[in-house]
Amino acid sequence: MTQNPMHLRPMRRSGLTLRSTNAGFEVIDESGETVAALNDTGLALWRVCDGEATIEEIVRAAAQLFDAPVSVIEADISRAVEQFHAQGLLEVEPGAESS
Amino acid sequence: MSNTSIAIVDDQLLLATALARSLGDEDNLEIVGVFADLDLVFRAFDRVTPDLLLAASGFVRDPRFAELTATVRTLVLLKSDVEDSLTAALESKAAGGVPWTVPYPALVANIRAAIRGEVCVPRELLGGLLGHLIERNRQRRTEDARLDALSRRERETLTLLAQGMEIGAIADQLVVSRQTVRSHVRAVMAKLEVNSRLEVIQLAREWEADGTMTPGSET
Repeated sequence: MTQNPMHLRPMRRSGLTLRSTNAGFEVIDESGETVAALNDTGLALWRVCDGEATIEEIVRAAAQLFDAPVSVIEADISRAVEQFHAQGLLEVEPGAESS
Repeated sequence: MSNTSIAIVDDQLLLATALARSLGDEDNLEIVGVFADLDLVFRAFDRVTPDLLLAASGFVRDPRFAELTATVRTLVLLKSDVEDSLTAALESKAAGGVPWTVPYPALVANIRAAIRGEVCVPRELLGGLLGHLIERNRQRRTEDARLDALSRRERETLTLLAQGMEIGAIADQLVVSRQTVRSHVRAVMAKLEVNSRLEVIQLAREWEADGTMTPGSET
């Protein structure tokens, strides 16, 4: 059965640390290499990727926070999570359907 | 360009008055009132409603705060419990919040952003606020599930109890016997897993205040 992507619970990859820069923030891996640069919004999103919150929950909260339509926020967050994943910032727990 | 009218509500009147004087000197901003409490605000709004209200964060938990934000665009001056207050303000559809400690030019910039219709959220609080909202939404879903377990009559009984009605008055209102109302109350207590009628009333009032349960709502 295909899992609803909104029910996935993105989780920050372990071993990554954060460094503040003049332009925003950098995520650093164990070897000290920069994995990605994040702005305030990206950092906020990455921080709530704790392996417990579903994308659906994150979208709903962000829609409340920015007083924006869920459809717009859903597209933005789905895109950002895909990008995080591609950058190696996340692991997505398989089989984690929300109750 | 016409002036934007602003009112301030803050129980620290001295600070509010000083802020009003400074803002009154800004281009296109006009202070139309400084109030110490929400009663005075609502009374004044009977005559004229400003374009923007600056409200001290102490008022965000007042049950009338949501009514206020429905009446006037409201920016919250965050003085303490910043994340909690801002979360509550946003849930009440406020235009956001600005920490009381920001430099004055930043405060003015936030006020102008709120006037333009933007949601003002301090960027350094974004992550914490998102986490806060996720947690609050989870709690609310749990509360909704508990309410869903109640029958229509049990829910009506709960609503009337929260309004302070006694068993006899509830029986009259629902056109049932007192015994039936007592039975509903027992069922409500069992389903909500509380031990006293007082706890039921307290819970129902909390749910009404945070919007989980609307007065008179039915399943």
